[in-house]
Amino acid sequence: MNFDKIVKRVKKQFGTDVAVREDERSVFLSGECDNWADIVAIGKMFVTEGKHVVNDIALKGYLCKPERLPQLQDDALDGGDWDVVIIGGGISGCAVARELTRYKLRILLVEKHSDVARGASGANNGMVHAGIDLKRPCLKLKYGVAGNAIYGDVCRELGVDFRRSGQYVIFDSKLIRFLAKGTVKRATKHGIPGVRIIGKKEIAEAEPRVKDFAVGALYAPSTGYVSPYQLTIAYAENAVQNGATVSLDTAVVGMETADGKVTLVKTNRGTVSARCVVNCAGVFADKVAEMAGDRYFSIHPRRGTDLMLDPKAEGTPVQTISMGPTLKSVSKFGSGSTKGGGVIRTADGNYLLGPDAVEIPDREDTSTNSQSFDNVFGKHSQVCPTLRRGDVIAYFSGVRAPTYEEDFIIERSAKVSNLVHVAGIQSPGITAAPAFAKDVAGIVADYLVSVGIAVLPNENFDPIRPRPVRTRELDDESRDKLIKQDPDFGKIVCRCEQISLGEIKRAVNNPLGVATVDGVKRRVRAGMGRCQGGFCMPIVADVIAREKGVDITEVTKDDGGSNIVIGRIKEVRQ
Amino acid sequence: MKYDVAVIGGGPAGLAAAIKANNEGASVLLIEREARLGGILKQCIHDGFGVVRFGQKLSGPEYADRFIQELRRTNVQVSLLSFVTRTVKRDEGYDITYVSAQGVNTVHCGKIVLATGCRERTRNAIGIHGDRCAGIYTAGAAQNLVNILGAMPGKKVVILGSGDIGLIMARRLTLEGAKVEGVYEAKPTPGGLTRNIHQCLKDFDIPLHLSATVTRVFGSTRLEAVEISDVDERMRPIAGTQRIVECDCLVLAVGLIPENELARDLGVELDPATKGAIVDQNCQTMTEGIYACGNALHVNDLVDYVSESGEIAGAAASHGGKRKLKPITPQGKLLYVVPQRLDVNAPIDNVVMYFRVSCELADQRLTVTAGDETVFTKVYSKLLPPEMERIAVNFDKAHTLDDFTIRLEDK
Repeated sequence: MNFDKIVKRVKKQFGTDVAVREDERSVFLSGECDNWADIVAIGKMFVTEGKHVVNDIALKGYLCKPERLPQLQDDALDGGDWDVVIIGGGISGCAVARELTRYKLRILLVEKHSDVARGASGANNGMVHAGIDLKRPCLKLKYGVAGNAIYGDVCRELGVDFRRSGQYVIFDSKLIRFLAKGTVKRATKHGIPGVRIIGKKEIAEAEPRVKDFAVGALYAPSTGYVSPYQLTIAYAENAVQNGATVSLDTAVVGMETADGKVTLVKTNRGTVSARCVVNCAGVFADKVAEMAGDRYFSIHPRRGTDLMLDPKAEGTPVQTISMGPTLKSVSKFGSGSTKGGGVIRTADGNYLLGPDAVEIPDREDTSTNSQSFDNVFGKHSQVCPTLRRGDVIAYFSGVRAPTYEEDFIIERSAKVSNLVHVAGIQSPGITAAPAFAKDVAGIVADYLVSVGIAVLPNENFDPIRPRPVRTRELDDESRDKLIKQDPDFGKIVCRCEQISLGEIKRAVNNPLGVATVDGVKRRVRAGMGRCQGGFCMPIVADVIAREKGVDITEVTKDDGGSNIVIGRIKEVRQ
Repeated sequence: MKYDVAVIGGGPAGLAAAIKANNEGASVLLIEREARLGGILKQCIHDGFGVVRFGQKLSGPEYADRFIQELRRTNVQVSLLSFVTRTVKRDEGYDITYVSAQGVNTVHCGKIVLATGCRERTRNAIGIHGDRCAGIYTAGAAQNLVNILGAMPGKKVVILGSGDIGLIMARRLTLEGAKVEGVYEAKPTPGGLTRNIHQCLKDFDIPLHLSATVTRVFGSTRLEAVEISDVDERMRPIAGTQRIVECDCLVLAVGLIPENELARDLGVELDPATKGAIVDQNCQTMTEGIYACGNALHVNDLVDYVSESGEIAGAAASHGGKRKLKPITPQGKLLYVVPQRLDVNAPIDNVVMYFRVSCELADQRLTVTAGDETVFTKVYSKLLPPEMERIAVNFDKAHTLDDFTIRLEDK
């Protein structure tokens, strides 16, 4: 294809000289530019049907921070021989691991952080999308719709809360409401169930907060809500229950290939051999592909910030609501503006406001800033004007991992035959994962069979991962009975979320062996309430130390090095 | 089980309330969620407690122990490690359900005294941005780590907020060998008591930076540095004033908020100024039979006053009668006044009132009126926001028991 026209347009628009090269799979860009947003915009201009974009345009003067790697160095994994090595413990990797345990295979999942769900899977709003925003058939739509349909079943098996309570896109003009008929038609064509337009009266009844300005809404009943990190944890735990190995604090630092195959995977905990490698590395998926000599797409990190509201704030809505297009933005209708964002009632009954989308050069920069905070609050509180800034009790950022084509890549590599890519997984990744994980497991199994490896069903596979006990949800009688069995369930440690010592001890002794303060928080919500751990954090740290038989000085917040305390008193010297 | 009075919270307010209610003849249940009585005093090992009440400078545990010893001589039933999960209004009194290591228990009580203390504002409440690393703690959490668990939260420390806990922790961490780089305060005046500025900072050469705040934190695993910015009079950061201070620990002493989860569940009307319940002079809330005291009512500066309001609540809860409530309207430069109502059916000859101002004021006159009569007046040469003021007013002499005001104005 001739890219001269685009190159000229780039020069005119951005003043940047781009060199273009292409092969059968990708368009490769190189050059230099002094603005990151421009680099991303330029990359998008080269997206063409059937090809990926590899964007190597460098940001002038930018010194990329080194990737965060575990402090741990040992040889715990060295010499291991695995049928499948999965790289990355986000929702994709953990779901794929679990689906693969349906077969009798030796499965290793490596995750560089000290827990799973530490990337985008742990820092999104947990919306299980209906798929109403997707315009054209693509993998996002295929797996999004399929994933949404099986979500209830998957969450039941894995003991994770899921609430299918729908979403409302609010319209403040009749014209927009009329135009939304096109979206309903498209949604129906795409197999999204029950999408319809509701009128003024119905929306006012469903959500009184919008009654002053809403003339109607687009209602998608299949939209649901899940705790994305709890689902990821549940997938990982079920995988372990069924025989997979999850190795945390384990980063892939290199690979060896021979005859168009990955032969060895090198980590900070030793080198392992693998029959098949699955790349679920999120924002690093292109880097992992590169390690295997198979770089044909680029990930451009896109940060989103969400604000968490005090669940007891007075101005919160009943439903998940977002503002639909206004007359001004009508031309953009359906271009993504109606997706996800808004005021979201999460699976835990909290409220999230957000997210935004900011292109950033650093893949691991999950820091928050006041600009994003202001943007998110300003934009998403419009639909619910009763919300106050003071209602925000926490905020966080996650970094999405889109490709320039903005679609998932779920395929076995054309160049490295035993490498399967699960890349470009961004929204609706949480929704889609249960569906694509099954397909990925199929791709892996088919490949292994094709090279003569027997892939037998795992007769001991148990799809059920028991739901953790939550004492506050129990009726008095059951709670009393449980406490009589184990008095620790009667000792409340986290007062905001009412989490008992018994629950915390169970969380500390989880199947993945994660014994960190944030690990406990992700599992049982201790420290997630309005005091944000002010009261319970020292107690949780102390429980971890006692349960694991270590000194409190060894207890970390999260990854290695994030120790809660630096030593004992009477020991510090200036 | 049935009790006349259930006191929720076994800190200084709850201890005083339980003892007083018992001594007034009521049967009392004291419910405490932790394993030991004393509340936050357990970790306040510094001195300065009890100057008003005992004329002595006690440590927190010593102060609490005086009440705990006294409690032992009463018939108060104490339930430790007990967490109230539900309160339900009955025709007469309330049912309280709580969980403990023994199971789930429901008791009936005539009156409830809420002595649930306060909680700290967090990093998120004041909009600090940046990385999510270890080493950022509220002052209370840091104090717990040091004084209860014997562990050091850091060795190069920045403290944000010059409230008393911030100042106390600056000294405490210094005594344990840490280097406190400085105490930063967004307001133009210190948030803590003057005596603490001297005893905790000046005596240890710890710098206090006013009108400056932490605007960003840096660190991939543990805190590595913070960004400090000067702020304008509306406490907004001033661009271009940012500087980086290296540290491995940030201690936040950025304010306390009365803990009112249970009050909310009970539908108790709250005062937006105090964030605690609206009460009459007997600490009874606008919900009949529910009393509030101590830091759950409003954040006190001295524990002595916490105990005092506990005693008022405990005494009143063991008696009580039909109320006739009249508002006390604050006027002028008052941040808040407690009580907000006067029960003119109850004794009004010695009404204890507490108030605070929001900024430093000189040469002020405080006047309490009933109708157009002045029933109390006092001149203050200086009023400081950190220092709560207490007055005792005799309304008995007033001819009309209505139109109560409390006014602060230039002398």
